[in-house]
Amino acid sequence: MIDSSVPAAPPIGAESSGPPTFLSRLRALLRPPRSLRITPAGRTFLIVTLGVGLGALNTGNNLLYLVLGLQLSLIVISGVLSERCLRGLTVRRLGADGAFAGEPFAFRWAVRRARGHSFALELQEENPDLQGSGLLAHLGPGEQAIVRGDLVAQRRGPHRLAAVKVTTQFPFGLFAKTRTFPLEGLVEVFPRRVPPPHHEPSGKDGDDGQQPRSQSAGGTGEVVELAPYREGDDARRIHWVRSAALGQLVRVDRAREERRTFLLRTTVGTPGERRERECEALAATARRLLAQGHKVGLRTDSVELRPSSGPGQERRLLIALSHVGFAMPERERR
Amino acid sequence: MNAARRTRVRLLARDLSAAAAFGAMAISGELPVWTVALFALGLIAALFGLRPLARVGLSSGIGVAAAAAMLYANVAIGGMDLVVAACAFASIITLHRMLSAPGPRTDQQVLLTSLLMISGGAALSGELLFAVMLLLFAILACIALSLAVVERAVPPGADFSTAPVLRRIGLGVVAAMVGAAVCFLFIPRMNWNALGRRPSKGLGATTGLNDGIRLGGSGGSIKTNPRVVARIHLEPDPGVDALNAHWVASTYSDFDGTAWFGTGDRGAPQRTWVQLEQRPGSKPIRQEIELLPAYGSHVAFALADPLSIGHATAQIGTRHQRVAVQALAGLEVRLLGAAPAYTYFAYSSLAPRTNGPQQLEPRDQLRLTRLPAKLDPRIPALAAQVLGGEKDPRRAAQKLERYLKDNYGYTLDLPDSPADPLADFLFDRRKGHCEYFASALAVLLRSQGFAARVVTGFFGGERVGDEYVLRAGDAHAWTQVFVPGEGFVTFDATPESGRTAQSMALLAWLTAAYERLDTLWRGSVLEFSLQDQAGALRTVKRFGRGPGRFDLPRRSTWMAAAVLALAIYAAWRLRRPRAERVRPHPATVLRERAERKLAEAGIEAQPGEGFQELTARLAAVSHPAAPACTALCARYVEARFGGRTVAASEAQALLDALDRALGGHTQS
Repeated sequence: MIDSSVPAAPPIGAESSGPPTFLSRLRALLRPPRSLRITPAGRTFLIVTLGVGLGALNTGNNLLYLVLGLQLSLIVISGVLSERCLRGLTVRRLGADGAFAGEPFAFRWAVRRARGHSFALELQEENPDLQGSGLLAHLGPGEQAIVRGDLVAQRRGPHRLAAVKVTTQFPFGLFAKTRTFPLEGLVEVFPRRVPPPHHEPSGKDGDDGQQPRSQSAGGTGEVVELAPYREGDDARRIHWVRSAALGQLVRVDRAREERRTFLLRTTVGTPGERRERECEALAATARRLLAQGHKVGLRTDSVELRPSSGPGQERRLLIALSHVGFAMPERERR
Repeated sequence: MNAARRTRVRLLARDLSAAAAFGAMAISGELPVWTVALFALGLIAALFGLRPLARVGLSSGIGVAAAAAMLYANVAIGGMDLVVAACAFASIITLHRMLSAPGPRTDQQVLLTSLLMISGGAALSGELLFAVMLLLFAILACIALSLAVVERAVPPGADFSTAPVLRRIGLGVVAAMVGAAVCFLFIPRMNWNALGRRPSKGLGATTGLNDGIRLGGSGGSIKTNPRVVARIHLEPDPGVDALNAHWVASTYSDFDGTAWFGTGDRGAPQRTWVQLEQRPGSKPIRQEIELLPAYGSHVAFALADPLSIGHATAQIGTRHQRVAVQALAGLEVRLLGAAPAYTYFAYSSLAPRTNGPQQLEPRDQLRLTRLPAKLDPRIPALAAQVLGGEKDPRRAAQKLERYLKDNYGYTLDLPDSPADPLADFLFDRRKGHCEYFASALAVLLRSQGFAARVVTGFFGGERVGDEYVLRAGDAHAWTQVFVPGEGFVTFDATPESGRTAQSMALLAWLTAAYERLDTLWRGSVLEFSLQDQAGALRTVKRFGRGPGRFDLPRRSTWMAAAVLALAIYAAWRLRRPRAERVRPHPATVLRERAERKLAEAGIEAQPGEGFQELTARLAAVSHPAAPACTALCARYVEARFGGRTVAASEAQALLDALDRALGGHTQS
């Protein structure tokens, strides 16, 4: 799984959500400007309206006709007011800082309105793989609001975003009207966060000349222990203060501050559960190694990342791992 | 507004809308009393925030099921109307939801069951109050629903102003009402009539006319009821505001000491038209009388003296159906067929009769002079004393009428029922209402051998528009005395102040206003039929197609209207950008004011230099204003980009500090 000598060759782009196809463009073209969904309360309301209508027809009772008129009017008003909520909106996607598969991540949109008021807006990404939404109670004229939503992606990888859906149930909660804002984008979903595997990856020799790891060998790090000085020990390791206090020479052992280099490799080429688990394990390992101060690199079928350390490298590694099995943008191929 | 207050407002609107919906049913007066009491108790609990059913979901559900079973059983055995039972059940369900734990789902359930109650109210009631309840329900339900929808999008614990929502909903409700009126006008009126029910009389309905008159008790309470029970169109039109006329419905000949009865003879043939009396030579008054559902009786009445009654139609919804009439003894005419409202025609003569019978039939003479078996002996003695041997029936009646008017008072406050109510009235209490005066006059006359009877009907006639109305409180009783050659002559011993309705002035004014609205309501809503609809459409179609009644306005009128519309539009356009102008962020305003102060002190930003850079430059040269400017800049950044708003007082304090620091210093 790690440091594999037999790298498989996955079909690049096999799962890629590439540029929009002709069909998707046609669908977008033919898509109505608003979509309408009847809520459960709306369904009941419509049934009651139908019942009142039948009652009015049956009895000729003018009051039932009046109630029916009010109900029909409320349906129309509901459509008009919800349309006013969705009109004049501008939506900008701010995205997420980091998204891991299987756990909620903060996603932000900026919504602006030139004139009029909007109420009870719900923002969602038009991508079935991204569940969750952000809510905004009120947006006044000329205001801009940052809407934060907790989204969940069940699978890792680049998720291409085609549009943002803004839905409102205002004013009566009978219908949910949705306006779709075409907005291209991409969100990188890193592999699911799992505990790192128990076995230690072996280091890679060479690049920066570090020796194999030895935790207690004499280094310059934290104090490991104090021990009586023995013949042949390095005299520079004598702890003179303690020696003076105890009346005998005392040697101090310090941990060696190692910065080793690791090159992680993917081994599973075929898409499936095994490859997902491998990516998750590699990501966990990389995070742990980087947290320990090591340099970590990655070699996948499409990308090779030079070993490096620090938060930037962690992000690069996670992006690379999220793209395993998907086409990777050119700028990430470094 | 914080979350708790928002929730309170929302639940208040929800519960009150449910109350309005229940009121729409309750005004029909057909709901069982226990339903009304139960709902009132539940509503009070809900308004005080008590939700006792929140933790007893299962057992309360069983209770609702039991109530449903009980109502069904009642319907099955014929003890309750199906629609009434359905309405009662809807109210129980609503109450159950109102007293359960509040939540978005519960709110919607309450409002949907309230909608069912409103529909039930439409089926049960035809009152103007229904329109009021419908309006209240629509407003409150829209507020509750919209607050619930917006509430879901407010982050927990966050403050949120509901004013913009309420403004939008207010406009929405107004638009919904207009839309409802348009829908009402144009939805084609059809009537399959597969399963109908008779509309109710409504709350406060009264018969006013019964098969007899019983003295004692609170029989006079009807006099305070201001409800209109009949509308009458007279031809020729008398043209007076108050008609102050007697309207005869029934006469009573037999008196047993406490009650009058004896309309009798129900076997008379049913006819379209009943001739009560021939009076050649007099020009009769034609009356088109509409009995409203509140009248609640089948007895037809007409101006005294009625000559003929007939051509009656029953009104069921928007349908009119011809019904027969039946004459009973004692001038009483009954309308046949069960309907909430009737319309019929009557002819009456106001001219005195000159060629009447000289004497009554022996049987009638005996009946109209018969006295109760246990008549108080003081009554004939009193009559003899007042009459002083008078033998002429007219003059005798006049003397006794005057005596009663002068020596007895009018009251409706008659709490107890004495054994001999007439003696109690004449010798002890000396106060009573019209039935006592009429009975006393008749019995006093009979005690001296004059034939007399008691008549019930109405006294009054108040002009509303081009017709006259009679109220339940106008119900009245008076006396007729047989005068040879003239027939029965009317004498009314009741003081004038007690004849018409006895409601308070303010109540009467309110009632009059209500009646005007009610007239409008009945004419344009309740009785709006397919023919009216066709007429309205024809009117719209004919409008602007002159020549004729619906000629287009003149060109100058169109021009003036167009100029006015343009002016309104221009004013709206001019006002709109100002109203909706994007207001700058308060922090930006603070920065701009600070920049202006710096500029006035000669400190201007260089090209491409922002406020932060300018502040840094001042700090670098240790300008005296640098500390104040740095503090202000830091606060500006924090407020503008960090989301920590700067209060007006704080902004002013920062600007004042900058002012003080800048005092006397200039720098280019």
